Amino acid sequence: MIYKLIKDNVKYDGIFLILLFIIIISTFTIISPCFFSIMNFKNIILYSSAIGIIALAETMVIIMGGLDISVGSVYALAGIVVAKFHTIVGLKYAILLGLLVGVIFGLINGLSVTKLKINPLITTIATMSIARGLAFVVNSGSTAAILDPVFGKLGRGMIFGLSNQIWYYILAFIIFYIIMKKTIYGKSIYAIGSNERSALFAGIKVDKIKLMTYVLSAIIAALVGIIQTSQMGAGAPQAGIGLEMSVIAAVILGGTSLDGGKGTIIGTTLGVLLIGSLNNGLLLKSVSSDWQNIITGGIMLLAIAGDQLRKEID
Amino acid sequence: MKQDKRVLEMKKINKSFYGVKVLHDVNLTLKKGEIMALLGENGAGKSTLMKILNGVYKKDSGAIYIKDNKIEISSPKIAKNHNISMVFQEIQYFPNLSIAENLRFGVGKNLHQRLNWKELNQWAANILKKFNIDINPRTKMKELSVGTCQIITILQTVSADNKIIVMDEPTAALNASEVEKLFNIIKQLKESGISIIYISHRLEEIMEITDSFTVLRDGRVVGSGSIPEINKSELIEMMTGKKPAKLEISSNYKKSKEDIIFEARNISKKDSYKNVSFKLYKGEILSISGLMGCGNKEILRTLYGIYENESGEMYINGKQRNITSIQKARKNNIGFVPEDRKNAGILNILSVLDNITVSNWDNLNKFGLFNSSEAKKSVNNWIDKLNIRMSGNIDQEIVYLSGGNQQKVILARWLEADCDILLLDEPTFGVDVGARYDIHKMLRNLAKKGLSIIIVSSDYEEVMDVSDRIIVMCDGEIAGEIEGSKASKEVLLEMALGGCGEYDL
Repeated sequence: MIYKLIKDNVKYDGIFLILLFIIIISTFTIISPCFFSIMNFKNIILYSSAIGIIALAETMVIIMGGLDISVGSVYALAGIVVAKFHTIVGLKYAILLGLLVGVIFGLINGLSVTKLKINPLITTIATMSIARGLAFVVNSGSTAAILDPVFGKLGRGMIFGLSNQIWYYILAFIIFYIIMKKTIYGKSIYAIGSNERSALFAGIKVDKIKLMTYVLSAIIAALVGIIQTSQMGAGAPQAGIGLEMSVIAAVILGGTSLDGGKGTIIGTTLGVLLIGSLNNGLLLKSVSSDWQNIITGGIMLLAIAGDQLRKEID
Repeated sequence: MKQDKRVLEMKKINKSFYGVKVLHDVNLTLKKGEIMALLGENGAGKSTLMKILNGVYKKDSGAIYIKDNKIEISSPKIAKNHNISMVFQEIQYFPNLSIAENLRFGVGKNLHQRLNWKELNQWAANILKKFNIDINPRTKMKELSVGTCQIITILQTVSADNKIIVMDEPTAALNASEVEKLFNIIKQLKESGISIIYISHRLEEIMEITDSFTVLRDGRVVGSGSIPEINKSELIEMMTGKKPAKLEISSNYKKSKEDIIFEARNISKKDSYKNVSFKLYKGEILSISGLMGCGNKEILRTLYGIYENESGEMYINGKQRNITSIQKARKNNIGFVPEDRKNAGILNILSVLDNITVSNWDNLNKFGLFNSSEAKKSVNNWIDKLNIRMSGNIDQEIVYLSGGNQQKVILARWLEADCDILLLDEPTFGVDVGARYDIHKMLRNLAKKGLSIIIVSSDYEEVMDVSDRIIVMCDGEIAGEIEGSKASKEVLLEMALGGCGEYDL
């Protein structure tokens, strides 16, 4: 009976995600009076934006059949490098230095995966450890403050009543959406994830595209790390510990296959916002963060299991 | 007397999926020690019928008798209890376990018991010895060739005392000597009274190994009888419902110097081929033939930049070119259709549209974006021209197409990329007779329009059917050359075995 119901009515990938989203929003709207407001939605997006932007690039890596778990550490290292060096080399060069952290780690990841053929999980566990270690070394393990008012605008400024970070997220969403949906680069990523050998034989520049994508992922992580440093007014070596797990969780929740070849930017964004809404709603009801973790994990299992069930029936 | 020889009877089997009838009153009879060919194009209902026999699908109506006892096969386990087993085309085994262990799993009984390793290995060694396979049973499966693994998988079903074995394309991954081995095993099984249902697209093998045939078309039995009383073209006619037309080869290429599009001069690769020189003319189909391991496959891969050429020169349109990577081959407008379609050809979870356009994406770029309207237009054009059949539209994932149609998609990919030289490794591997004829006809048409084609195929019929010219290799060296129209299987084999020189033209 339930099988038939699902089979006849559910035709789209990720329909469970949307259903869950609606259920979560309606539930919190009923039980928490301040949940359903423009103000609160802005908050949800604002607090989701860091994970959200990194998750967009991670989506590309995972669709390509790869994985990048060094993002949280690169994020922290870039942030503390800017905070530490802005007094020494000036703000402009400090930011460039922060981005360079991204480029270098992206190159290490990309070259290890393409040239040395090291498994991406192993490669990025190693670089995750290296970047985290460096983040502690740079300022001897303590937080570095950055009080430059111009730099502060980057993360804390507002345009048309919306926080800059929300604008960044919207902009990043549009750019990544176009890349994955409309460009040859995006299509090549799907092709590589679908079957790398076939893609190679069809004439796709597999190594070049993989390298580009790992570099992109690391640069995005560094950039978001710099923006967060601006918002906090300080770079902390322990920033973003566990960030990579939230990022990957959102990507998978959004329907991207860890086997590669499948996934969408919209799906990932829905995944990010779902987790964001859930955490926000639980916070409004003063649920402890331990319970938040348990509930978020449960919801994830439910969404993925539902989607899997639909595929099996299909 | 005749009655007890009958081991299996399937009577008036009907089956529908989602209201579409795929089997209509199908009857099939198998005698003791008989090898029966089950024939039909893709989608004719062969695998559905066999899955019913193995309890994977349930029949809608009809009856199955084993030795005149009516039985219901509602699960693969019950099929096994009735000593029926199936060897699938895609073999499954445990690569990190030994041959003995893999054979033991085939028996499937008392798996939880403690193993006596000595006994187990002795038992496995006996089986291997019985079938003249000279390998230590302790060898891990992953150290064996794909073909040997296939043979071990077949022995798995034998070790379990099966009386009826279904083999689905068992020779698809085997080379010539392994096919020989397999046939010896099959003959031994036949002698010990085991009955075999043999599914294959290779009619050559069917004629050699099977005793009888049953042909399915669109879910109906359209013919059955004994093999010695029928010939190949009659079988093809039954399968396709059409009289097989002989391909007309109107070689219209010119053997002039200006028309040499590709030339290899003394190319060598250690342990693969040495001092190979040949010319490819514009608009011709050239086959590089020879026995397995003669180096022809390696040459094809070198021309596409997958392998590095170690010495000698290659010329394209008279200019020397170093093809050191696939990218360089693509820049010289060379295309390649690999043998391993599933792992090296199709982009399995992408659409037909993407699969056809992938090698031309750089040209379908409009202001940095993918020009999908133009892509759709040309894809629809190829689907019409190549008669690619699929149930959905061009956004359908390619995995849902039959092997023949997938191969046509790969061909369309290189036509879309507008390549000048097309290299094909086993162009009709695992493709049914109808699609095979389509592909051959298509290749002839393309050559006529000026495409230059090099084919490597282990199928002599195919080589003779489509080639303008055939080069035969023996042990890495060119043994001779012959016009396609003058070739015969005997001549090709003789040259391949080393009777060099005599047939030089």
